[in-house]
Amino acid sequence: MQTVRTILVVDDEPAIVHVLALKLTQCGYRVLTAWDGAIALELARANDIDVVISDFQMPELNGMQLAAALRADPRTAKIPVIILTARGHLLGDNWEDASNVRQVLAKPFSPRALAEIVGRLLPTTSNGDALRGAA
Amino acid sequence: MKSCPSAKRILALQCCALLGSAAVVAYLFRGETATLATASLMLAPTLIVAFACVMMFVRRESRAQHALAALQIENEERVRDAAAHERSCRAAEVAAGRFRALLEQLPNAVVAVDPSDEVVILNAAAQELLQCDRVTRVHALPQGVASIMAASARAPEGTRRSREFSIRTEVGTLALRVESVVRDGVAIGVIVNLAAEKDAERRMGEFVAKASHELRTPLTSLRAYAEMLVDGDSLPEEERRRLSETMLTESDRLSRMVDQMLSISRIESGIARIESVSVDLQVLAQEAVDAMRGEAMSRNISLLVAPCAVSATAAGDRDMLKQVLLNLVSNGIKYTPEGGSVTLTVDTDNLARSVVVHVTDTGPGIPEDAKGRLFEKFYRVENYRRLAKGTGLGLNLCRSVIEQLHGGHIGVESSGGMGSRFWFSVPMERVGRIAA
Repeated sequence: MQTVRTILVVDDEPAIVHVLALKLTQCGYRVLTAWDGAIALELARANDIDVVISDFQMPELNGMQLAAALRADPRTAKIPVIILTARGHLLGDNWEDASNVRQVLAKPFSPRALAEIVGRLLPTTSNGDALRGAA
Repeated sequence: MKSCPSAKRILALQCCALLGSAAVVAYLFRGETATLATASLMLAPTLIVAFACVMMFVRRESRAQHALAALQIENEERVRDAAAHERSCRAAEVAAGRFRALLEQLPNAVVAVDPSDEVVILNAAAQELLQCDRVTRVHALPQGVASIMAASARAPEGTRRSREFSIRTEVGTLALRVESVVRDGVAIGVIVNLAAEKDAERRMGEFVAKASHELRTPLTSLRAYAEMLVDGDSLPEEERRRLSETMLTESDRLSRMVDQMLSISRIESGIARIESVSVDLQVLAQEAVDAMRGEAMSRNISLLVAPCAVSATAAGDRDMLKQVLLNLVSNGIKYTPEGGSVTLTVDTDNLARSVVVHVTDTGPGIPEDAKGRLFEKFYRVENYRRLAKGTGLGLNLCRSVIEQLHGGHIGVESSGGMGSRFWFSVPMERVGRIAA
């Protein structure tokens, strides 16, 4: 029996969290949601998360800080992260140095396209292999 | 030369008169004594010569008078020309004086150099910007300015040049641009301090980045929700309805944001004008409260206007002041937890001759570090973004309306966790006690 994958969606915009949760649930994933980076970090440590989808600009911890915090913890270091941003140019040129950040998507984005990216990331995450460049 | 013909004519006349007189006398005094004939012969030419002299004198006099008249006319013309020349000189001096004054008053730095490398203009702004006192030679100017101005002064008429460069001054390095043109053989250059331009560009870039971010957020929701509805994805009817309602809410938010951006832009560029009338702010506050009562009741928030004992009539634009009140009340309701309250009080400050309105809520208050930035464009307290949707422009628009259009003041008082008290004041029209 196939294991249900868990996606953590993090955004301080409830409408975006809602639509992503709806789409990913329809795709057969289990979805956890958080509205800031600090809560997301707690959820990621306490649950078996397969992919994190996070907004960049958030209170407490922003998306890149969340990715760095996940990377720093052995329990969450290998979780692939997708960053959503409305201001991509502010991420800086070295975002790719964050090895767990697999994709940066500019807003507005397509939930369908995002679900496809999640689908591409998941098959190789179950055994914890490095996925750099998979997206 | 002119006297010769006249003398000959007089001599001829004298001879004719002599011969004529001799003939007449010989005929009349035939047989008389020789003495009488001789006397007659002596007298006649003298009379004739005297007559001729008189005639000549009269003619000379006439010519002299004509010459004198011509000289007078010529003299008058010269006097007129001299007066006109003097007037022109005076006008030129006045114009030059005005030009010099204008140059000195110009905020732009202006320098002019002639082909012999003499600095003929270096206005006050240029002296201040380049930090050099009056200099007479182009090479005494800072290097970047000197090279372009010296080259321009030798360039053909009408040549334009533009160059950016940096100079070191006591206050640091200055980024400058010189734009020069050659006119009447003189190179005239305007020096622009690029720091102000670059600062404006930076602020514009920040504004565009913020505006882009804020506009993309509702756009993202609209795009995602529309795709979900198009794809269908066997959504239950209830979910479809919810998606549609969210799309409406987000499109309203987007529309409101664009309206507010345009309003702020109109005010900041000086296009917006107010229709100043007598506005009773107590009445206006009650109207705003009535308009927002439904929203307050839906969240079980008590909303009221405190009684006012004075006449609080301001001079201002009724619609704009009401918009400010609606914005502040709406914010109060949005950020106040259910069961809380939003209270409006209207009062007068007789010393400042202004009407003051307070909007007090029982919400979470404003963090100390956010107070100073609360009225900035697109600024939103990070931790409160999730509490309520906003455009991030409402308070900035309030500030523009109150301070720029009404000459009033706006602010906020808050201590963490103890609610917020937004206030604004606008000039009062008149003050009078209500009869008890």
